[in-house]
Amino acid sequence: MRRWCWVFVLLGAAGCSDSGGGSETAAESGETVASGESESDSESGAREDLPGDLPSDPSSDLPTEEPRPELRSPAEAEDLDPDPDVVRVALTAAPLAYEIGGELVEGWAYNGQIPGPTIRVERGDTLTVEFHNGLDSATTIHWHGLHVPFAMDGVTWQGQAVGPGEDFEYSFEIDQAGTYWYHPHVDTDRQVDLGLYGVIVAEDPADPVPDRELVVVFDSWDEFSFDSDDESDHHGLDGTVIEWTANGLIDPVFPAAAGERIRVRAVNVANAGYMALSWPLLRHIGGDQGLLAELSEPESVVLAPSDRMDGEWLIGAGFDVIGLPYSLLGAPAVADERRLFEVQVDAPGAAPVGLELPFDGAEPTPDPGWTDVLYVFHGDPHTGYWTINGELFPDITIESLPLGEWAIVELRNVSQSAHPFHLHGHGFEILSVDGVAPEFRRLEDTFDVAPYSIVRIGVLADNPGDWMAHCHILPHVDGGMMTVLRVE
Amino acid sequence: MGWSPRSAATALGLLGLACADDGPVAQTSTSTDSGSESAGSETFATATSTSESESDSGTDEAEPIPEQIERSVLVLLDGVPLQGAIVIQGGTGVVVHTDADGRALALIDTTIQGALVLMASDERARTKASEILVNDASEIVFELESIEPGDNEAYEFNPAGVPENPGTTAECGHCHQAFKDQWFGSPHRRSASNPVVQDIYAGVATALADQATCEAAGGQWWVGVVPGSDQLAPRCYIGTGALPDLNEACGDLAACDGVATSFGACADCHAPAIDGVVGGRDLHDAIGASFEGGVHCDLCHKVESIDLDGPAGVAGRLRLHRPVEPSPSPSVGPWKPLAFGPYADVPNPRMGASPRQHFLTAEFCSGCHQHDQAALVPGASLDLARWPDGVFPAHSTYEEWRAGPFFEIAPCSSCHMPADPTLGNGADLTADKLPMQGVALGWLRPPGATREHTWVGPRTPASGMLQLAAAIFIDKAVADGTLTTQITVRNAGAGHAIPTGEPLRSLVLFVQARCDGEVLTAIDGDVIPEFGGWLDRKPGPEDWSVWPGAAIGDVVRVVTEDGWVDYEGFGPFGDGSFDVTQKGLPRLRVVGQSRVISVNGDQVSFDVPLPVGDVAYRGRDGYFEAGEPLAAAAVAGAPGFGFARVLADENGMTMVPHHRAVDVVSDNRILPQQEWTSTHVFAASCVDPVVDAVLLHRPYPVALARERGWDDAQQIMVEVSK
Repeated sequence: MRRWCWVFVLLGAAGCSDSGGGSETAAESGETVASGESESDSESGAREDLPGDLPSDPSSDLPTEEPRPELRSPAEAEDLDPDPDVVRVALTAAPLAYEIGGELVEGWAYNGQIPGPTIRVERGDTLTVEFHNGLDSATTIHWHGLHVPFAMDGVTWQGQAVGPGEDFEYSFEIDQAGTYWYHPHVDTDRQVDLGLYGVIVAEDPADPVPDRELVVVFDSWDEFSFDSDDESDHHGLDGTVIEWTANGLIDPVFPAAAGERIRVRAVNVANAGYMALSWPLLRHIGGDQGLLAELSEPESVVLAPSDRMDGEWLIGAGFDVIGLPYSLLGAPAVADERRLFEVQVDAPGAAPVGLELPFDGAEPTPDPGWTDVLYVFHGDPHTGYWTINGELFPDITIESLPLGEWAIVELRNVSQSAHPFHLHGHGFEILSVDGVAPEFRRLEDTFDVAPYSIVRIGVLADNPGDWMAHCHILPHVDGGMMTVLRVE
Repeated sequence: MGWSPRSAATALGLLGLACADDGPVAQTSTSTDSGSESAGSETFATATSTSESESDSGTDEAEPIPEQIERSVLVLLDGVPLQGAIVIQGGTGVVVHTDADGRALALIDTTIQGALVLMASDERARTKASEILVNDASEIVFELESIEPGDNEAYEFNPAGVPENPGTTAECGHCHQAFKDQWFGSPHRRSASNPVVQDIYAGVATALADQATCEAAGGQWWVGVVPGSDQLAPRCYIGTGALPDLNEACGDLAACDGVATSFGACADCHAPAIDGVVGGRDLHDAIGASFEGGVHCDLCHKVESIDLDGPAGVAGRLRLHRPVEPSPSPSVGPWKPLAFGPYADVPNPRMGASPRQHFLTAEFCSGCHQHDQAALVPGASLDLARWPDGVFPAHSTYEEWRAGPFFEIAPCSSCHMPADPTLGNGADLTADKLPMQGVALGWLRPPGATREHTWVGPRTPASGMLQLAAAIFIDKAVADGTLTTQITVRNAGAGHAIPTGEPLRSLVLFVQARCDGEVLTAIDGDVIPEFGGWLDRKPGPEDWSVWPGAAIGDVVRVVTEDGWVDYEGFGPFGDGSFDVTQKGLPRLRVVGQSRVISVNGDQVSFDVPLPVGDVAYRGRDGYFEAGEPLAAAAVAGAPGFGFARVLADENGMTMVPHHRAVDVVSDNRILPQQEWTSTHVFAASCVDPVVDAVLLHRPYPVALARERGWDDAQQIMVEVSK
C-alpha cells in the first residue's frame, strides 16, 4: 500500500506523499476506525472508536514499549443461507479509517475490516454475494483465480461497474479448491491499495483437515512509486516496500502450540511488492489453483503481487516467518530481510507428522512447440507506460481462442521488470520457463514472468467470454499492460 | 512517526571519498575541511551549515532522534539564489525543488543506514553534498558553481580498466567494477577493435594472415597500419574499404593507410574517444584506450547534450564537454572532475557529477544509431528522385523506434540495459555494505535504477535478445496431395526493425515439410531472396550445364520471377513514396532444384535434370540439409524468405558496406509489432505433414564474409515445427 493519504499521524505531523484527497479526519467524518495493532473484541479487528490505547499526550516524544499485536485470521463472512450447498454472504464496501503501525489511514474496506471477511466455501457450492457499494466511487468485485462466468467476473470490459450506493448480486458455482481472493477491478491500483481485498477459501471435502488454519494477507505499506517523469527521481521500478503488514499488522505474534498442524493460506495483495516468504522446514503444499502436484520443501517461496501459497506448519517450537528481500526485477533485492511475524510457542514439544494430502504427482503436459497466442511485455519505469504486444489498454488487439481448445500461449518479457501475468476466468498450466519444463504439473492463474524470459503456458479455453489478461503489478495495469483474450 | 535507532551522535556523514573496497572509508566525521587532499573537502566546505559548533552533535549518544526531521536549505549558483535546484537526500529518492528565493524545506529520513547527506543539484553545476547534523537545525547553504563552458581538447580520457584487475582510481572501473565488467563484454567496448570494422575501414582481410593465403584469395600483401598501434606491418589488402574507396588514386599500388585524407567520419562513432580535436579523425588514430575501449565510460559520461540536427558521432550529434577548469587538487588529475549522468544524487567530488536527462532517452543512442548518409565515394551520387534530401538511411534504428509503437513508451535502455538486481547502485553497493552508504559508496537506489552496462543485442548471444525478438506462426492445409503452408514471421520483441543497425545484416527464413521423416519436395511458393547469397547466378536461357567453379554437392536452385514483393517497410518503403517496383524486391517462386553430382571442368552433371525457370542460383545446402547448420551458406532460391535492407553501390553491387552505397534498393525488414507471411507449397505424401520453420540472424553477407574470412556464424532466432 502506498500512502495515498494520511489523515493524520500519531505522535506527530505528516502529510500526503501521494495525494488522493481525503483530508477529512476519521473523527470528523464519523467513519469507522479500525486498529490493526490493538485488537478489539471482534476477530476482525474493526473498532467503533478511536483507539483507546493511544498516548494521551500526543506531544510526548518518548517511545513506549508496546506489546506486539496478535496475528489472527481475518473474520469470516457469515453464511446467510442455511442450504449446505449454498453460501450467501453480504459485502459492503465503505470508507474506513484504520491504523497501521501507529498511523491512522483513511482507506476503504469490505464490511468494515481490512482484510475483508474471508469467504469460506466447499468445492461444488454456489456462492452468492449481495454486494452494496457504500463508496462515492464506482467499483466491482473480481474473484481472482475462480473460473466464474464472464458476467460475474467483476470487470467493466463490456460491463458496468457498481455505482455509488448501488447493489449487485454476484452468484456462481465454485468447482475449485484452494486459496483465492477478491478485489475490485475498477481503478484497481487505488482501490486495492486503499484496502479493498479479502480471501476466499475453497475447501475440498476430500482433503484431510488440519488442526487450525491461518489466513494471512500480506500487504505493503509505505511502498514507493518511482514511475514518474520527474527529472530528478531514480527511475527505478515500483515496489520498493518499506514495510510489510500481515493482516494489517506490523511484526505481530501468532501463538501456537506444539503438536498443532496448521494450514497457512498466504496471499500477497501488494500493488507491486514482491516477497520471498521463508520459515524453517517450509512445507509448500498449495499454489494459485489448489494443491500442488507434489509436496515442495524449498528454502523460500516467492509471492509476486496476487500470488497465493498454502503451507503446512508442523508445530514443535516457535519460529519467525521471514520476508527475504526480493524485488520485481525477478531476483533477490539488495536489502535486509525482515520478520513478517513470529510464530510463538510457549511450551516447545515434538512436532507432528504432516497430513496425508492427496498430491496427485501429475507430470507436466508436453509442450507441442508451436504458439497460438503470443503476449510480449515491454515498458519502462520512467515513462510509466507498460505494453502488451506494443499496445496500451484499452486500445488493444483481441486475440481469440476457440471454445474447448487446448491452446498454447507464449509470454515473453522484454523489459527490466518482472510481470506476474494473470488470466481471468481460467487456470493455466506452466509448460516451460525458458525452455525448461517444470518437474511436476503446475497450475496457476497468475505466473511471474521474469525479465528477459519466455514462459509458455497451456490454457484449456473452456469458459466463454472476453477475459482480461494482464500484469498484476497494478501500476503496470495503470500504465497500459492489460489486454483481452476472447474465448468463443 | 517513530524513532530512529540511530542516535544523534551516529547520524553523521560518512565522508570517505575513495571506493568502498579501498579500506576503511567509513570515517564518521563532520569535518568539512580536513586539510587533506581529499577532493571532498571542497564540497563540504562550500555546503555549510551556519552552525558547525556542534560538530559532534552535542547530544547524548543514547538519545533517540525522530525518524524524520526538517531542514531549511538555500541553494546558490555563483552566489545567486537558484530556483528549481534539485534537493535530495541520499537514499530516499524524495526530491524537493528550490523556490524563487533558492530555498526549500527538506524532510530528512533519519532511518537511512549510513550517512545522512543532503545534496543540491542542477544541470549548470556539479552536484554538492552536505552532511546533516541532527541537532543543528540551522539552514544548510549549498554554494554551487557554474561549470565553465567549452570543450577541452587537451583533456585526456580516463580509461575504464579491465576485468579482474581493480586498477587505480584513474580508471572508472576501480569504483564501478560491475559496470566495467559488463561494459568489457559489450559491443561498445569493441567498436574500434572489432576486426570486421578495421577490415572494412582499410580494405583488409585480417584473417588472411600470410602472403600465400592472401594472394591466393586475390589480395595484395602490402605494408600498412596495424590497427590500435602506430606500427606498420604486412597485411592482406583485398576488396572494398572505406580508405581505398573514399580516397581517389589510393589503394591501387599500396595501402591507403597513412596516405588517405578522407576518413568517412567512421571514427566519430567507432573510436569517439580519440583524444584531441573531435571530427575528421582517422580511425587509425585510435591507439591505446581509444582503440581497446571503443565507446567507454569517460566518453559517454562526457556527453553534455544531444544535437539532433547534427550528423552521427562526437563531431555532431553527441556534444562533448571535457572539463576546462584546472584541477583543485593533484589527487583528482589535471582537470576538475566532470561527469554527466542520469541522477542528481551523486555528490562525490571525484566524479564532479552533473545530471543530464538524455542518459535515459533514445536520443542519446541516436548519437550513433541513426546515420543518414550522402554518397561518399568520389564521383558517386544519389538518385535525388529517390532520396530528395540527398541522404539515404544507412543506420536508422532510432527513427525505426520513433515511428513504432514504443516511441515515448520504451526507450532503448529499457531493453538494451537490463536492470541489475545484484547491486544497490552503480558503485557496487551490496546489502552487506548498507551501513557504509555515503558520499563514496552512494546510497541504495530502488530496483531498476541500476542498469547493466551490457547493451545486449545480437552481438551478446547469451542475452537471448534475438530469441526474444522474433516469433513464427505456422498455418497449414493439405488438399489433393498438396500441402500449402503459410509462415508468419512477427517482430514481436524489438522496438526497431529486425534486423536493424548495420545493413550488412539479414534474416533468413528456412522452410521445409516432412512426412514421417521424408522431406517433401517444394513445388511452389516463396523463396529466400538474392541477398540470401549465391555463388553463381544465371538467368535463363543461358547454358545451365556450365557452372565455373562448381563443386560436387553444390545445389542449383531454379526460380521464376513473378513481379515484385509489395511490403510496408521503413520510410519511403512503407509511407507510400515508393511504388512496388521502387521497393525493389523481386518476387521469386520455387520451381525446383538439382544437386551437382559430378564436375568436368566448367561442365557439371546433376542428380536430376534442372527444371525450366527464369533464374538459376548456384549455392550450398541450406539450414536443414547442412551438416554445419549455423555456418552461413549461399541459399538464394531455397524455400523460405528473407528480410534485409539492401544497399547498392554505384555499380549496382548489392549488400555493400554502407560507405560505398548510393541507394537502398529494397528494405523489407520487419518493423516493430509487424509481421510478414510467406506461402510455401509442397507435394504431400501424407495427411498431416510436419512443417519446420527456422529464422536465422545472419551478421554479414555470404560473399563478403567469405572474402574476408570472417566468422560469420548465424544465430537461430526462432525454430518452430507444426
